[in-house]
Amino acid sequence: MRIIDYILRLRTGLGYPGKGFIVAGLALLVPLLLMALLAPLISPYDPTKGSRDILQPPGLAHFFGTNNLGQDLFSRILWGGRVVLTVVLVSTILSAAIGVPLGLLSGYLGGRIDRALAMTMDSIYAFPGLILAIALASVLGPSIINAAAAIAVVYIPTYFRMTRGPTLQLKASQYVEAAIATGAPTKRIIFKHILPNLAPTLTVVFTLNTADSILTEAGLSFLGFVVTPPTPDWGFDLKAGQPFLPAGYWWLITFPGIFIILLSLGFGLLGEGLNELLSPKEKAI
Amino acid sequence: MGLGRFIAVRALLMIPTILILLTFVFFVMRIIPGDPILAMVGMKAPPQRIEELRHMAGLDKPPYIQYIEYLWNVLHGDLGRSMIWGRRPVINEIMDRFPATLELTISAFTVSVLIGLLTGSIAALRKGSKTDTAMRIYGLIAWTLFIPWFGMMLQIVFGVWLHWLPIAGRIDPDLAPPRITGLYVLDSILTGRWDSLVSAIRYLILPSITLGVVLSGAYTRLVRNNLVEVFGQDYMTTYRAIGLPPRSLLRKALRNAFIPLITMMGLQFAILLAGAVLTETTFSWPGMGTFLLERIIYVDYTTVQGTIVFFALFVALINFIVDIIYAIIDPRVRY
Repeated sequence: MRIIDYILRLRTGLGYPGKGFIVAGLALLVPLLLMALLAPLISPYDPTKGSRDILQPPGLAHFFGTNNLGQDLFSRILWGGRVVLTVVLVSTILSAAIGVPLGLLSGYLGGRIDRALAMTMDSIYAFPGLILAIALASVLGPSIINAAAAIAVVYIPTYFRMTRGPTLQLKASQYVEAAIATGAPTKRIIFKHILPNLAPTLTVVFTLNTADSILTEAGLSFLGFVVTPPTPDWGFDLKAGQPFLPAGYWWLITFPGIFIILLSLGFGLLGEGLNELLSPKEKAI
Repeated sequence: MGLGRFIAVRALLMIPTILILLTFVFFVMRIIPGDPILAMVGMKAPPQRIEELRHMAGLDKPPYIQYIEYLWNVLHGDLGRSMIWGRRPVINEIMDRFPATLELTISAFTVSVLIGLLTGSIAALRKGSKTDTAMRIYGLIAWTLFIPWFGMMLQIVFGVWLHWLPIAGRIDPDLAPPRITGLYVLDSILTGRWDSLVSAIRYLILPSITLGVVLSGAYTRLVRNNLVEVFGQDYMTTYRAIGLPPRSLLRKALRNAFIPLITMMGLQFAILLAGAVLTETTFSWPGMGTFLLERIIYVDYTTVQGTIVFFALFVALINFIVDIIYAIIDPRVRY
């Protein structure tokens, strides 16, 4: 079953557990995604163009106020969302595209290579993700693609582990053994019997991991490794507002940060709800 | 297996882990496409300067020689020399900054465990109620609180508007206690400098709360789930049946619920260190995180690599210690 099926089934209102979380997550995500998507249409100002109205507090002319260069913060947040989502999307696809096949093959084939690979991935997994991303980003130089690559490396072990573990279990299950006994080719077993059973787990991992990588992207951006001025990005704008904090210009930092949190929370709630929906065991606790 | 043997086996297992990490850091810092020095200096630097930096970092040698030299040196505790300001050994520079990070992480860790125990116990005692759901949502929100944002919010409320606490630095500049351990709180107590102690604690509060709250979410959930599980055990039913008051019931349950928590602490520690980098940047805390970023800006390649290696070794060591503590507390692990 695909993710869309789970979400559609909610409409029948059978009181599935986790429904509240999924609805809350979508209620946060849909508007945020629309804002980023429609930024060129709804953005009231050019996000990179300065004006004479510097450091204006939030008001009718500027919903979220303006910064020290007179740029409209609301417009910057709309456009910044596109940067965040681009980096996160590219990095998540990259790490899943590498981590999942590796985990599948490693878990299914087993043997020495599997053990060596598992140990390598575990070692990297234990390393603080953001620090690893900083190391990578610092030698790659600041850019959207480089940041996405750095974040992708951080999350490959997560996908690997989350794929390998269940693959090992499935391989030992009776129906896979039966399939092997009937002489089904390995390719067929992996694609027909194992991968479909991993789909629910991977859906949850994908969602929760996105929530996590949003925070990593924001962290990298805050430290100056994602964009260079005047490109808008939430983490970067937060950093840019920091020098004005002691003077009490609260709106420069409040809004970019809130959007980082809302986006991450949206994916977190969605993942939480999906997890409950897809694994009944959790409910017993 | 006796405890001594367990420790020996676990220590042996650390060798491949460390080798993998060292190799990985080496690859990350060098073999990736592009020239690390060039990326750090930017395109505008004169070619001569780039050559000079490459030579200082040892990057002009063949990769396999670099790798062997690097492994050999790291295993001897030599992280090379800094490429700026008098070229001090990297390990000395790290040791100047490390106590600040240690002080922050210990303090934040304590905050996170305390909040986690409190919120987790409340949720478990009211399992299935609205309070339980509220604590669950708290855990999620705490986890997504972006550290710099949360830190700045505390700064603006408690520092800028209320003037209660300082927002940047580690201690009042003229109050730094004599260096013994490098941990200001401990050093102030050891030397009896009470004014330093008050100052150090005042500076420590906001960064610790920032990092502590963000990390508490994971403990909230873990404590809750563990407690709920323990409450369902037969011996808890017995305790209840013989009429123990709820307070001592909770105490007995917490003791058992705490054991699985320890295994989490190793992994949680990595997140703590990553969070410390952001917390330090937000509060201008002179620790390892600000140090690393500073040296990235100065293109101090050897120091950057050394600091990453140091982080890797430190995490491996913490995981080792956590495993041993676990084995001491829960003897079943050893078999």
